[in-house]
Amino acid sequence: MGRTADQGGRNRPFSKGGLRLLMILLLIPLLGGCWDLRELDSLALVFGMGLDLGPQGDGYRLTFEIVRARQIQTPGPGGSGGGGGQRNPYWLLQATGPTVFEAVRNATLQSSRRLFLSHTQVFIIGEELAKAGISPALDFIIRDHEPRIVKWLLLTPDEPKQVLAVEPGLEQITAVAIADLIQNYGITSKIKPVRVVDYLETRMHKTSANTLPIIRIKETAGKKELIIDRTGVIKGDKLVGYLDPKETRGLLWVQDEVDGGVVTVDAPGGEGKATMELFNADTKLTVEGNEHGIQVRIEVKVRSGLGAQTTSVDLSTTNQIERLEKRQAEVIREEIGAALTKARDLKADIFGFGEYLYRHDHRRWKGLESEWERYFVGAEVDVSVEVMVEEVGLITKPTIYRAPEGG
Amino acid sequence: MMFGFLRRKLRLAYLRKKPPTPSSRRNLSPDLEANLAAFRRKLGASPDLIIRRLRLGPETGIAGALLMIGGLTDQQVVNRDIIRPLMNEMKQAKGKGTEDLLDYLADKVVVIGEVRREPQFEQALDLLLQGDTILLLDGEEEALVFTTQGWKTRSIQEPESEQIIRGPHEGFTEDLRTNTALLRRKITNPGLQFEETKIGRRTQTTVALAYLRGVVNEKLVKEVRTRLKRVNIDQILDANYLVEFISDAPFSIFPTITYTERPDVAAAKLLEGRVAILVDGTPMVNTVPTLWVESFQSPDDYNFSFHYATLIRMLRYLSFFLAVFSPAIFVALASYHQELLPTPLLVTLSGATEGTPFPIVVEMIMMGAFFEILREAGIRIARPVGSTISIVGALVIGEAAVSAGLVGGPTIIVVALTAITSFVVPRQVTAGIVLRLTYTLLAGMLGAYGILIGMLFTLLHLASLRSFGVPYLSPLAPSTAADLKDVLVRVPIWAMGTRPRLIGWPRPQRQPVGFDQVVEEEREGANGADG
Repeated sequence: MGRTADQGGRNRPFSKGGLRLLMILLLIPLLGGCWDLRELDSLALVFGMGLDLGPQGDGYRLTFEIVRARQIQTPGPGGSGGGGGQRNPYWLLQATGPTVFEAVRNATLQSSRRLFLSHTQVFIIGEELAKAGISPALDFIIRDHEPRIVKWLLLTPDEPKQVLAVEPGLEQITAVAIADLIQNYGITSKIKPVRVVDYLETRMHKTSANTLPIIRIKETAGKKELIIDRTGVIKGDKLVGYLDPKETRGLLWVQDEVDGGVVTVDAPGGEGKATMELFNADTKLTVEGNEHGIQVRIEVKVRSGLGAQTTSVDLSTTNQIERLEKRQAEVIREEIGAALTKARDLKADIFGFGEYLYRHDHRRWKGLESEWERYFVGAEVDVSVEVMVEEVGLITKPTIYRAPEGG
Repeated sequence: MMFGFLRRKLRLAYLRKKPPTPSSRRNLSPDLEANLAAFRRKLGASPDLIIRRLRLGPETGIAGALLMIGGLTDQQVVNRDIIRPLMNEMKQAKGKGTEDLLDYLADKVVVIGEVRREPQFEQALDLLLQGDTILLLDGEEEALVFTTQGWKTRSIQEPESEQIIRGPHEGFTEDLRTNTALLRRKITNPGLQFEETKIGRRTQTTVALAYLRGVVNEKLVKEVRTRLKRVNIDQILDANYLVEFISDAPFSIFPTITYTERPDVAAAKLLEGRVAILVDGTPMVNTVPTLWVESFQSPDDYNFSFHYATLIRMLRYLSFFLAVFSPAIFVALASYHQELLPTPLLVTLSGATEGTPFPIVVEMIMMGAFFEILREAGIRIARPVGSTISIVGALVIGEAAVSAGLVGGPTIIVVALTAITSFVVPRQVTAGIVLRLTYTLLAGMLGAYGILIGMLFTLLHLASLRSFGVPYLSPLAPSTAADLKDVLVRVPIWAMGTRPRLIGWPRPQRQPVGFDQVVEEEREGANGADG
């Protein structure tokens, strides 16, 4: 045996044993083959996920919005023909389990395909669950490698299943429509968009309260529509109250998250209104404090332009513009004030004043932390708003007909 | 395993090779009839052997015979410049003078450019078979050999395999002499050298080696010479017969000897310091050393503005990448890494593959094979039938397979993309097919991990390749900053002042860089190339 190997070694670059070893080494990388193979058509693509408490109040009931990809094909020759009749482009599947993970696995008992969570666009949390505590439900979403933590997190007072069942006006998939709704927040700045990771980040800070956008079903003339118009306040992982759109924007002003939107003011020097378009908003927040109390300074700088007016008064004069600026600042101050009042009522630091101190004045913070709620409620807040109206649009004189005076 | 087997066979072949036996050195006999009989015996009753008997000199004169092969000799030349003077002159001649008869004929009678005396029978036979005309005289122990080659050749045409838009449109032909002339016309420099040898024991094919003395690395020439000398082959019908013998990496899928059908390309390579190997009967000229990046260069790169050339150059690299990787990446994404796809694309893909009976990797390989079959059929079939193939193929591939639900639409798109892109870099088509198939299989088994493994081994292999001593991947690895001027970008011609570092180092400077072309004292003198 040994002799043959020696003879082999004389003629070839590798001995027989060496060659065998080399082959084995070369084949090792292939051993991992196929174990994680999952054909595209064996996956149930989950786009929206609803989370709520189980029927008996324990465990979780999940709703999955699963896409019927075949129904979403773009029309083309032979494209839609094979579908076998039009069906709803998505399928709602509910599953229950003691944990979210088990509920996800249990869903496969009813689904012919393995659920694939990587493309889930929105996570919608039912009110009941929100009142009981959100974090335990999010654990799986963060821990598992499939769901993405940069996707949107929302609250709903309705049942998540009902929300996902609403047929969207333009999109084919409800979850996609909801994600688009949130992404458009900059047009109004009346929605506070929150990703799973944002929620966690705020959650990690003990004194800060979380906020989540609220999606609900609005029924008009028997037709169901989805609307996001409020914000839920989550204090210590539990839902404690709501902010209306005005308060929501107040919150966004403080957090420097106003991207755009409009502010309507009473037109100066006449009946009617003027709507200002926000071009740019910049907020500077400073929090200072000691054991006697804290002082918060919120400086907002806004650049805006006249977008519409319902009065016949010419607003394009310097004088009027100055008054417009003043009134607009007033409105913004009101919005911030409303948010502050609500936050004080709920004793929830939704603005993250505590976090600001934690970051900027850590030593002081140590002393205030234990009684932060008291300090927060008693905080002296100084709001200053500086508005600059930069333009009045393509026309200067108002279009509204003015009756000749005295005539 | 198979390589080992081949390698052993190869070794055997080398061992078996003996130095060419000194062929039976038989001299011609002074007896004309005996000589003629010998020729007839060797050539059999070939009807193309023409024996023209004649008698020289006044009266009965000396018996002689002209031998030639019909079709290989220029009949007009033979009649006008050999037979007529022989008969006319000799009639008036006062008979044999003091000088040797053969010398007399060669020097004073025959009107042929190249005439020589040949004492050996075998040699004369070879020359005869190459189209020379042989004059045998009774009583002479040597034959006179007239170079009278003249046969039908293809005229110089536009190269079919390397089309360009601008620039010269002439291409090499099958005739070696035409090809050398084409090179001479491009490079009017005494440094341009040709060396000819005959290779192929039975075909006796002329192989010419061309290089530019003064620019070329002499060691390289020596190496090519040595390798050519070592080739012991029966037949050479195409340059590739030779290339497979002298290539550095005979088992590699990557070509380490490239070819061109264009004299301007060959001339450019010579001017860079490369060696060209011309094989009689092949309209392709091989140049060595060959680099991987050469495959991505096209003569049009230098005929168009450098901005455009650079863009196109980058497109070529992209195309090669797509041709090799797109099926594999598609398979990996669709079967393993669905989370990496953009959501809308995933929905589209999922909808398109739903209901198809095969896994995507099988689909991909099936359609890939189908495309290759189609391509092959298109090449092999008689031209009038070709359009049928393409219509049927396009219908079957494009329409029927998808609408019958056999394969998904995206698969077809990827295969089509592969098909188109793979032809952008013609010199790597053969390697591309192998790589593509391997990567697709690996992606089907292991996903992106498999593609990475494949890439790793490919890069290892590429980095280990050499072509006549020059690393195949240079100037990328080992990297030579100065030579990157003609890799991913093509810098303006006036900025290409130096020859490729690893090839043209004996004389690296082409010209001063830039517009500052102040007439400099030619350091090497006018004919400096000769050294």
